[in-house]
Amino acid sequence: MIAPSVAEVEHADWPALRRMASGLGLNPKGRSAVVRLRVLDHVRKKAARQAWHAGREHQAPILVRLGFPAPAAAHWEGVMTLDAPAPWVGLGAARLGAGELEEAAKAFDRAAQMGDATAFLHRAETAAAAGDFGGAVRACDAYLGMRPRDLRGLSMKADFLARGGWADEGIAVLRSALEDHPDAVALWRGLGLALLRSGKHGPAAEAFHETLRADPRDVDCLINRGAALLHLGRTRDAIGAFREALEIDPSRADALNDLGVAYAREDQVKSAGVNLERAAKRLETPQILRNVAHVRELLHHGEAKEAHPHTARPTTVRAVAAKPAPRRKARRKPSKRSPRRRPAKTARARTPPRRVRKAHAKRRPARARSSRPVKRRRR
Amino acid sequence: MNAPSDSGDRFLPSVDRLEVEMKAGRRALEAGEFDEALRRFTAALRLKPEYDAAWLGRGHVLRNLADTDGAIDAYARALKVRPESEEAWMGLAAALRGAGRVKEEVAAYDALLKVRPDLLEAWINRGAALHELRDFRGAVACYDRVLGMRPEHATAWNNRGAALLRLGDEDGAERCFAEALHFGPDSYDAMVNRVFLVQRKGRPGEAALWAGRALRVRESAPLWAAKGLAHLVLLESTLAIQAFDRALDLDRDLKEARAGLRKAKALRQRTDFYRGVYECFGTHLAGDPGCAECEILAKCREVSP
Repeated sequence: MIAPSVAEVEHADWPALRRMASGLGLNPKGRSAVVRLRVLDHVRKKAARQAWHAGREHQAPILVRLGFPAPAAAHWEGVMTLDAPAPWVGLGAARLGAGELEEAAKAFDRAAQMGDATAFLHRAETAAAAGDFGGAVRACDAYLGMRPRDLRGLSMKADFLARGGWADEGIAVLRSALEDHPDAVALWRGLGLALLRSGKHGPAAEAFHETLRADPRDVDCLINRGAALLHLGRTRDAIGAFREALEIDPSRADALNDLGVAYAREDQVKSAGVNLERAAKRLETPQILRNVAHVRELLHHGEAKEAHPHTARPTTVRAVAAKPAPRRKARRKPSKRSPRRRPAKTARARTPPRRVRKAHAKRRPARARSSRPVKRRRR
Repeated sequence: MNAPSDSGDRFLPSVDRLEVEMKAGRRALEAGEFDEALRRFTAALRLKPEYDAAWLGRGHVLRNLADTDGAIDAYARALKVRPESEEAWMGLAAALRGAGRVKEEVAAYDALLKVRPDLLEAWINRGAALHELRDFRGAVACYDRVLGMRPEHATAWNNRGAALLRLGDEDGAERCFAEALHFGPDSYDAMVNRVFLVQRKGRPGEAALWAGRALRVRESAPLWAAKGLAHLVLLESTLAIQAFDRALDLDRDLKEARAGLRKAKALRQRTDFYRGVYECFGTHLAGDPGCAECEILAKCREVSP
């Protein structure tokens, strides 16, 4: 006998419950609540889960994700019906995966004609893939016509506007979306990124601050906020933000790099060197290596500073892009001089990073304990 | 145990070495090598005396080594460096509990909950500590906070029931235990609490039933004895003898079981009911379809309250 579901057992009447118990080989005798308990125990612990087989419509999206759009399209074509738009959307996605943009657009149009609003968003993605950001924005508008103030539609529209080069319009869309959805943290995050990309560092820092109010442990946001503050010249605040990010995730090379750059701005060249070297250990991007080389150069001059104070130069290294912030180039080219002496070991970072908080997350010292203080025994 | 002394052998810290010491300390702590872990964390603290993570690690190690005072000191040092550390507050509270300083434990949870008002474990543990201090209303308020956030929290339901029982609200307690068992069908504590509740209400049939279910999860001598007592009231002398025997196997010194065994043996001279396949014997409920067709209905009625 196939095991019944918990809900079926909970709502079964007495004859059905008895049948269930007998069918499962359980004792069907006793008070109904006790028999029900017995069957529920069996269902919870012993009953095998019902086998589930993936149909063609289930296999097709997986095939697209695995990179086999042609068989996925064949599957979708096999499950087409006249009144269901979903297979058309699936077919469009498979065509899009195969790079057949025109065919994809046709499929999405068909689904949209059948009343599927999300097809417009897929249509927008297809237009964007073809580089037609204006078309993508128009498709988003069509979607928003059917679902005004929809968060997904608004954020996609803002994204396409930004990618199309209409950064200010994108920011305006995000701002209007925030009026309707003030609690949507993702919107604040997107707004911060858009502002950062368009060079409005003050408002960007504020937007990231709003995001962090909802989720203080958002490492990306902390790093981006730090980058915005660094651009604003608030270096001490930026250092604070990067250090906070590193406390949450000490392995973030971009945060280490940005912290190094911020220290360099503060003329704390040794600290800068330590952090940049730690960043380079984790991620050897040309940008980080350039920053390391530059700081070593500065360090060399710093050592010479005591003898020749006038040779000291201001730091000119810029922050490396904090993912997913826009990539920014280091202002300086790689030094073509011979490699400089490494800083002495004893001059490394004065404050080691904190990194234990997560490491012991599993070892919560005191678990929630239950009390059993009501032991009254009958004598 | 105190912090390592600020001796002259301290030198400017090497970040790499500090990391190595911390990693080794954590690894040793997880592997249960507490002496090695203590050595590593102490070395880390010599490199950087104001390192909250190392103080935390040291606190965990000392707590495992049953050096409660040392652990309290270590957690306090960690909190001095980082007053908002959730792990340090929880550790401190646990260490204070270990030292029997329950009032201070409550204060520690209060401080933590100011920083993290949504921390369920802290609310639950605060409730349990208040329960120990016999502030049952305060405990119920803590569990209500938890249930406001997570209505399916079985432990909170169970603890709430226990507190209500101490306040004399038996019906409320029964509802709480039922919820606890609904959301956590294998909740041992809720089953045991239910056994004692129904015993108190004079329903030996249910006591035997729930004791049987709890004993399937975990055996304990007092629970076997409670089951034996329930069988005794149901006039099931053979089952009572079996239960008391098992209780005495687990704990030879359990006087309650010894006395119960004597009574059960005496009872068997006069009567001995046999419940057959009916697990629910002694819980007769008028109008229940299962009870209506029961073969031992008459006997069940006799012993059901």
